[in-house]
Amino acid sequence: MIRVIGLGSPFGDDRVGWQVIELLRPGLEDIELIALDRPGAALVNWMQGVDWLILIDALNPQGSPGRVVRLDPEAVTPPVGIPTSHALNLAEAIALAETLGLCPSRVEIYAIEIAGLDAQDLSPAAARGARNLAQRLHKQLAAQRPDPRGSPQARRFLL
Amino acid sequence: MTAVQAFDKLFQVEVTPGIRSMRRVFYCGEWLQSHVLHIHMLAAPDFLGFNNIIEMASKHAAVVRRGLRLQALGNDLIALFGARSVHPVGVQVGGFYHAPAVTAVAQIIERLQAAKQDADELVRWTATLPLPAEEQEFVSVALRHANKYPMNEGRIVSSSGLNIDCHEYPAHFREHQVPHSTALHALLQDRPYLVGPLARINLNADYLPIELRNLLTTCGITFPSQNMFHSIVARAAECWLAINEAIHLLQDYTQPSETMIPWQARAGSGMMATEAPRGLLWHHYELDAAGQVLTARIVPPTSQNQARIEQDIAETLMGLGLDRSPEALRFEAERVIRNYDPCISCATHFLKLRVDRA
Repeated sequence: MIRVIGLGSPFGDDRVGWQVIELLRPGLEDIELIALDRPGAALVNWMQGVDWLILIDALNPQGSPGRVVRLDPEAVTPPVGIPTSHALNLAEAIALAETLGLCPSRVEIYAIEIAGLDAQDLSPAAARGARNLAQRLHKQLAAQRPDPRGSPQARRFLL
Repeated sequence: MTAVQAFDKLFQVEVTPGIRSMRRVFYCGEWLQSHVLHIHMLAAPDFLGFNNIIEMASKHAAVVRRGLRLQALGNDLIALFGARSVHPVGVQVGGFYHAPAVTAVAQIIERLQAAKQDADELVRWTATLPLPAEEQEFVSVALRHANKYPMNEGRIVSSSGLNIDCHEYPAHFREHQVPHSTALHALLQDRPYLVGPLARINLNADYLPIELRNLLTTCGITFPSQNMFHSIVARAAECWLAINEAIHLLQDYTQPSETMIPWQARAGSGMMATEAPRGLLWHHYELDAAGQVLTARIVPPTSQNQARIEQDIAETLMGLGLDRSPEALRFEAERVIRNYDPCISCATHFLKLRVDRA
């Protein structure tokens, strides 16, 4: 089972993860597409019960808004020995899920660099980043889905 | 919730018993979510000697999983009426923007029923934590309702005999600035005071359901308590209360045709106090005839606890011995602060300690 989660908040470009989820919807109705508003530790609950999890989040402005980065889950680890706060960040939520044995076998993390948090609407750069990532994921997910016509072998048999 | 009720009063809106109940359920969700986070993320790791919840999860996986389940339930209860669980938007003056479907309510009742066991175990577990036994002198302040545990309504009472309407708040409570902090400090009759779950349960223990009171007795915990570290048990008890109260309030739910009482804006002044998860929350608004807000004053629980936290740190560190290492002093001070569930703990290793040894 595949689940794609867009993380964000209603502030400016922080909703870019949600935008990717919206763009993915048409044509991927059989894949679980979820937008979450700052779930913190509750993200762990959404990591269970799937084989393949794709997480999409916003990346703080670093001078190249719209840039899409794929992060290695191994590299996204919180510093050791530091107290956590009320709201776990993405790295902490993944670490907690791993500790509890709830992390799916395959986790992919994508981040889109944003322009800022102040605007009412998505910035053109973040919107472009969302479109690019959605296209890329759409292709990837469509290819991974079980073919509705059955396995290649079964199709050969039918032919 | 506090703001809309202040406006309700100013606009002379009389909400239906159904809306009043739904608002209480909404607060049950807020309490559950907030308390579960504090218990598992901030308080329990301190008592069990872990730096954080991730480390605690490696030794107490079942406890953390239970916490995550309860947090998710709290989130979903908030979202049921608030449309989303973070900064919910479903509440409005006169009622709600929408009412959930009967099927959605039935589903959440089922989950609440299943969570009763978790809540029971949570109370027992917090009571077995190695909590320090020191008692302190402090005044508790909370709402008190005429016939039930306070959430959205009630008079402001204190363990020192105060019993006032929320309109009288400014006459008794004083906020002021101090040179060493950016946070406003609040005093009741010039003394620090405590708001929050421990203060609430201290002043309303007689309203706890008998099953919960029996459970606490079995655990050997008695409220009122002057042990600040009993806050974690008070939070667990309020999680129990929130789950059972939500079941009780939702069991006869029918979807109302109208979710809000129409209102007309008018000029004037509106005040309200509610029991937010972290304690007494007081709002005051002044409006013009067009309904525009001219002034707004919000006194949140976290700032009201500021002076009490500083008093607690002083007492605790003096008790510990000021000759201890800076690391030991900092950890103890941080533990005291985290015990109050303040917003500032959102910063990690937040305390900058400067030791002047004369």
